[in-house]
Amino acid sequence: MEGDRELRELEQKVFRSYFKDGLWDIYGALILLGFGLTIFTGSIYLMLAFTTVAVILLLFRRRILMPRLGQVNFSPGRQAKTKRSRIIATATLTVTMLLGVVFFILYSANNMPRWLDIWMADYFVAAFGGVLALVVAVAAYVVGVWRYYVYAAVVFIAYFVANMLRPNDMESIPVIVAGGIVFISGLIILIRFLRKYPLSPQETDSV
Amino acid sequence: MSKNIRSGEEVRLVVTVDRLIHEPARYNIMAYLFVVQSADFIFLQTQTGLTWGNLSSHINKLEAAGYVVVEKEFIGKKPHTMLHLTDKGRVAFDDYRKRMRKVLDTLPLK
Repeated sequence: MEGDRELRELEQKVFRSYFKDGLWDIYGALILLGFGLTIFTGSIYLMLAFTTVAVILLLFRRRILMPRLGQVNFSPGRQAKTKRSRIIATATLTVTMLLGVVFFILYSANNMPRWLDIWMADYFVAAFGGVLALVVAVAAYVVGVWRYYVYAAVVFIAYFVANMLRPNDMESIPVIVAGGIVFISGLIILIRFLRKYPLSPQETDSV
Repeated sequence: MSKNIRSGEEVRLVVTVDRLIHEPARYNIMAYLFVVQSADFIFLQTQTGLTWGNLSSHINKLEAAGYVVVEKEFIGKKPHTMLHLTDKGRVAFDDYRKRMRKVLDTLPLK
């Protein structure tokens, strides 16, 4: 039944159902809000606080998800596909981070080509947003959840606008707005998920 | 004459499909278990939308036929039920789908 489209779609539906809780959305939103508020206030502690809350939320995700949605062990085929996707995501992140480090070293040592130096001075925030949006888009591709592509677009637009508002020192506003949009979206998804999947009564031996 | 032979074949195919799987709720359960390695009771309940008692009753029938294995365990103090299809169950589900496809393929479009 390898080529059976219906069963493949059913399997994908099952896989995607584990992203119906909106907690990854809230996680991303908190990181974005942390970024934006840190730029706005100049306090790095806000970034740390938001990141800590986001990580704690993810640590509790299993406890929220599993009693409501149940446990499933995917087929070896899906497990291999997930592994491949994770490798792609990790490779993308690693390459992105390496490029960032190389860029930072060149920038710090004033060794950047002149044209790139000028370009970066003008478009650094937009370029950063582009990289961030790429990471979100890769995540969307890996898990096959279409709303993550929308988030990628929101992130890119936010940073692009932030770039334009930079001369007025208002670059944090679009980032905070984007974080707010993703946060509200994630919260709505989470509330709908909790309503749709209330805690099941404890299992009995009736099965 | 050939039309009669064809209708006879359709009837024969229909009567030979596995009636245990033919029931929609059980087909649904089998389909979900077919696409994963194993799943627990809560997962099947949320995905199929069946009530606890209804799901339990269908699973009992599938277990009795040797299509499903039910494994009970305890996570902490809570009972937890994992289910997976047996090889016989996988073959039966695959066979059911092939037969049904044949039946549907032999039907005239209008």
